Amino acid sequence: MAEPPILDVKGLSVSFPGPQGVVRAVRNMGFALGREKLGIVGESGSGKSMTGRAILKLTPPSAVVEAERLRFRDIDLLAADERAMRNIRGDRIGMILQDPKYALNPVQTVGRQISEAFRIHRRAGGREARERTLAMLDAVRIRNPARVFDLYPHEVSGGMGQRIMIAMMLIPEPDLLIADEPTSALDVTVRLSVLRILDELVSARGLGLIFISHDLNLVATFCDRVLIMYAGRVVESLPAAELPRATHPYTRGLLESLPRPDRPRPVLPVLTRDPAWLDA
Amino acid sequence: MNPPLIRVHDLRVSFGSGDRLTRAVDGVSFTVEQGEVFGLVGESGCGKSTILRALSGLNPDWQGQMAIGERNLGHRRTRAEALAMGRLVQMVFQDPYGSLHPKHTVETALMEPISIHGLDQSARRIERVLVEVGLSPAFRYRYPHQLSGGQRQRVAIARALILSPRVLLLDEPTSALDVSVQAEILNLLSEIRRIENLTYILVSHDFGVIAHMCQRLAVMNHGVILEELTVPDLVAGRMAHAYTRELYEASAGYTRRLEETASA
Repeated sequence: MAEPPILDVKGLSVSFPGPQGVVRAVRNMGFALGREKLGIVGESGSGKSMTGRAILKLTPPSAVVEAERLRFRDIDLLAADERAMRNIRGDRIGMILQDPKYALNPVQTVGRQISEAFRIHRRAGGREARERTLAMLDAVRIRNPARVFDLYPHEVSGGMGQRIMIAMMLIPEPDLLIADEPTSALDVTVRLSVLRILDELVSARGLGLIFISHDLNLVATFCDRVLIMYAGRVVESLPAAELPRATHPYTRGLLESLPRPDRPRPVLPVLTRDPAWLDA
Repeated sequence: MNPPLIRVHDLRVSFGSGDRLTRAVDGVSFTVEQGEVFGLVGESGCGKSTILRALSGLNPDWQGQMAIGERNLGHRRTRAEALAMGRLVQMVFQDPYGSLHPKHTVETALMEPISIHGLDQSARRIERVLVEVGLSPAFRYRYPHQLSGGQRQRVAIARALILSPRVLLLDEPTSALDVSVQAEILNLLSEIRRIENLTYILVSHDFGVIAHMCQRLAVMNHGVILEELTVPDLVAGRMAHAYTRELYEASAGYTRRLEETASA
């Protein structure tokens, strides 16, 4: 790779000191992200969401974040203060969360929220922001952008809400997008159309995408590369297409325990957790 | 041959009135044999959970005919009828975090149906049902927050089983769980069905779960059943409706559909 990575993470740890000792949510996490779709998979509590939040420095106040390296383009995120981070968040790194119902402001129209994202980060005037917003709504395949512009979030469906989130996150033209379970709240048929839009926009604009999900099938088919997390650590890293041939016993166990229509079994294999996976 | 255990004929459930009338279930008929696992599949708002709520008696506002065994289900149930229904049908919900009272121990949660029904030997019953769902009897003193998601769903299943019902209505019982825990709960449900000779109606959006658990399924959209088919027919792609195919293929992942659309 001639081009330097968009995001370079090395030795990232997130821990929570508590009365019963330190809980280590993320342990020695490292990866470099280029213009690609990187999937981070794991079960609840594996540290995948905390990794996404640590990159944006959005961890809870009680969290202790340490890293050898946390570089985004030419910016050292470790050294960036809150003021600097506010200029990075939304502008250069966007984040899409699971449920648009909670991520959108319920008392502002969709159009106003999206154009605000543009105006703040680009210091543009109202008319330009409106035009760009309508174009962006069109890019996420909203059929009647002028009508949707004036709707409130409760007046749109879940799938449309998530496309609006994508529009809002992409309008400042960030270099990196972090999507945390962006389609888990959506029905399967809607999920595909949202993923297709995300896929096209990420490829067309040459973004880096971190796609956090618990869904192995989805990550295997959507992403370019996958990191599998267990108890805060990356236990395996491989090209997404190779996921069915993963070798780590945890990844294998997860794949085996998925019920599959094409492979009926009377009893599903149950994952037996090996304490050695915590460190090996 | 015995008549089917569960018989639903022309079930209609609507919410609101006038302009805001929503026909959540709009004339649904199906039957389920004794010992069968029948799947209901569809996207959110298609009416699949509403059917379970009508069958279980949680929603008394419905039209049509429903019968389980020899019992015709009435709309307004007397206390005696409601009690008899409780011994016939129980429901397990999606979210074990929401379906257990946070300030009740496992024992209190399991004790409630026993005392309502005036059953004896409560301690023995609680112990037996906990062992049946794979929990040690010591779990009876725990609160929900001291349990993992899988353990909570086991307690919810234990609570459904404690009155020895003949039918379990399962509303997305594993979709809030991690896949490794899902496998444990699905295995448990299969095992219990075999031992207790239970009949299940399973609502799920996951075709992997449906194909693993069910013999037959109905695909729903906008309050009606589009088609009923067997699981072998589903897996072999012998479905009548394009919508069924779309749902089934969408559940397999991302790329395949993309290529199809690109080539179309």
